[in-house]
Amino acid sequence: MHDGLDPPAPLPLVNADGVDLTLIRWTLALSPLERLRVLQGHIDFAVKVRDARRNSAR
Amino acid sequence: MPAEIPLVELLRVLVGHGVEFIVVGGVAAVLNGAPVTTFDLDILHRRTPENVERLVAALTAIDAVFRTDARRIRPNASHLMGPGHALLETRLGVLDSLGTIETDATYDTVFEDTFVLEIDGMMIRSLELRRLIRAKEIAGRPKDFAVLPVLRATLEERGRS
Repeated sequence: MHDGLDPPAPLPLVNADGVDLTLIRWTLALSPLERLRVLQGHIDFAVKVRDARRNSAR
Repeated sequence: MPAEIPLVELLRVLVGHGVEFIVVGGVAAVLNGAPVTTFDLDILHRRTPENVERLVAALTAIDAVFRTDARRIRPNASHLMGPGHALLETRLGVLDSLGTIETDATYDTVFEDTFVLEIDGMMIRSLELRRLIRAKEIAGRPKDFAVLPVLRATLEERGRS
């Protein structure tokens, strides 16, 4: 059934600066604790990569 | 129950010692919902003798030392009463305890631009996104400018929802 209303315009995926808006919407949907868990995951991964590079240089 | 992540454990030590602080920098950006990454927790601590005493106790509990000095000096009250930045490493990760941000903004002067959020049962005070953007603009380093488009877009997206 058509209600006479136009469908909402789709949200942009990227802004004029090239920022991925879908990523922002995803993080905004997380709780503060979940945001910290994601950040900690990045830190842990970077530390693993750094340690791997150190070990491979020996 | 999953093990506590080091960032949260670090915040819990500070809260547990009654330290008055504001989360600033990259972690504040994350708490505000910005998809950025960082490797250290930056806090702006209140520079009263009582609070600095509590901060020293908290830092002692997590084995904090200056990461910029090979002598592994432990921070004391005189280090933390000033306006400078104590760049520390702890057993829970990297922590920068700042006496001021921007040029001379203190805990008390930025307080009105903060908000409190609940994280795993703790009440944590963070810099508000608009003020964080201003702080990055004032800092004016390439690394600050690099993150500004994401922070501004996050502010805009928050206004949309």
